[in-house]
Amino acid sequence: MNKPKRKRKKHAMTRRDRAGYLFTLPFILGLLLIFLPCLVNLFCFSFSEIQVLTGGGGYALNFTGISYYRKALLEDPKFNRMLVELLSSTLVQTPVILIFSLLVASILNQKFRGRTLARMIFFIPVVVSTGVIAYVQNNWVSIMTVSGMGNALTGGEGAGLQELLSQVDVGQGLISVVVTAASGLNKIIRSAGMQIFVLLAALQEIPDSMYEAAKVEGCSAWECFWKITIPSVVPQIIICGVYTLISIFTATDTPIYEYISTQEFVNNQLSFAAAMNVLYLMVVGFCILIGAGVIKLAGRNGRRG
Amino acid sequence: MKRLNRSKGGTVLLFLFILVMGFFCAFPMILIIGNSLKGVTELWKFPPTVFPKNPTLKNYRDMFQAMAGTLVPFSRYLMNTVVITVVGTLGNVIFGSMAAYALCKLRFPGRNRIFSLIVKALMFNATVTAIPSYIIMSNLGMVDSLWAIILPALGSTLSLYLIKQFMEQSIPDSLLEAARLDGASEWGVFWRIVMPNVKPAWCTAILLSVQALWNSSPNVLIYSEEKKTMSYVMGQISASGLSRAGVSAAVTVLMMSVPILVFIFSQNQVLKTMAASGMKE
Repeated sequence: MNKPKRKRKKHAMTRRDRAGYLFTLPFILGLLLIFLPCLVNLFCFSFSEIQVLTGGGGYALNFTGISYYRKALLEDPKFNRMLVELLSSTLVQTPVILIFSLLVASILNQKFRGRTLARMIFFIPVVVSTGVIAYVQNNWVSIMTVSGMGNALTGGEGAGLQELLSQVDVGQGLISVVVTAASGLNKIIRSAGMQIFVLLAALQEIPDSMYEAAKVEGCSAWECFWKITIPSVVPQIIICGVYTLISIFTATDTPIYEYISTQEFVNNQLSFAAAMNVLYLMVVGFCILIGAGVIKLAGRNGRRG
Repeated sequence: MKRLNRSKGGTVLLFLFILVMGFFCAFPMILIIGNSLKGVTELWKFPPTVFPKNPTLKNYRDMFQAMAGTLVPFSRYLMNTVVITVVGTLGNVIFGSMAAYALCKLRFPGRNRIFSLIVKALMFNATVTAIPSYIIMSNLGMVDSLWAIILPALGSTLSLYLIKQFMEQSIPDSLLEAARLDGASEWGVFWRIVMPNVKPAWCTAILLSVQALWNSSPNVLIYSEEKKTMSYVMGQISASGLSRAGVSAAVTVLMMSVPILVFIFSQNQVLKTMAASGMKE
């Protein structure tokens, strides 16, 4: 059975196949010329000692085996811990972000005055999120309550103005609880903009007639949400889940990234950093695979139920 | 979720929720705009004020003054950033949509493998590949040219991913077959049928790409002063310590105004297209 099939495939380089290759050509070229060599280099670096050649420039690699991996996993005091911390916070953040964005998207999907403005406001964190504004977006809760404006504008950590708190009569504990809660909420909102938008678009694709029919059949709003809304947006929830994971893992302001780039650029431990990068990528890839699988499974169950 | 039977109290609660969340999103921007209009004394007040009591344009004047005194004429930095943003965005969105169309609708052998490779490329961020990419750029002879920033941006896979997912949802195969039967070439199908129908997707891709490229700062790949970007020189203007705090806010406002303008424009487009889309299977 296999043989004739294979034969047919070989002969049938149709016009459409050619178009397919042509259309993807820029990306294939990019992958082959830039992405893959990067990856290969990274792997080579992680398995060898890099020796920068003086004089003519360039570098030489001396094979060292898995010693840098061993260093990252067994000897380094920080890498393991940071990795676990990142993973555990991701485990909490991702579902919270997804639920939050679905909630906001379904409210924004309703008809009310000013909803265009409301939608734009929720997308702002996606549109402007670099430099000083990113710092303010991340830290405005503590800026307003604890540290003052100065640090925000100069982007530095600098002298906190925490002492001022002691002059306020409210209990320290209460303030810090409120600040922590608000900062957490802020973080979630800040990373949910894109997801809200994607889910909103998905919700708008659900025909009204579906809800009307359900209403006639006597479904409550709650039932409609679970039996119509959720199953219709499962594909987009998967996209959003993957997007969320990727944006968490590729953020450059996480402690683990700062640690790796310090090793790479400040301490010049190129091979060590490369090994950590490879390990990190493997963990990230694994997580994204599992994450997508879990969401897909949950979606299938939801559809069945 | 449209107009279902819900109690008044529930409605009020939901909108209160939206109001609070919206406040969280909008507040940092308001704060920065307010700051850019504050004098030095007010800037350092604690607790901070949101709206300036004595608004002044001094920060903006200082900023323009600093812009006039840069090493290379300021227009040069601006031009570099504009070139990077426009070329990078156009290339990224067009190549991305082309590849998305092929991977989504043209069933050629090997496409799954290509797609999985592309998705894997999503996971990388610039730090991971910084050193290898420098070596590759150097091999390609592109160190210290704008292409060192543009070229990787062209291959940014996020837009491809977004557009492909959108195509899968919104373009029925039957529509493409109909167009082919009417004698459209693959390019014609792509450009005249598919692209108009996935406008929301590429509007979003344009927005994300502009946002990233407009703020791109030269890394190790560019060292000539005349090839550096606006975000770099703006960083220099605002990075002169505490006394420049107000100027820094002004710089931020100026830099974020462009992505916001693009957003306001494309947002309108996106909503219009979404409302008008009659493409349902």
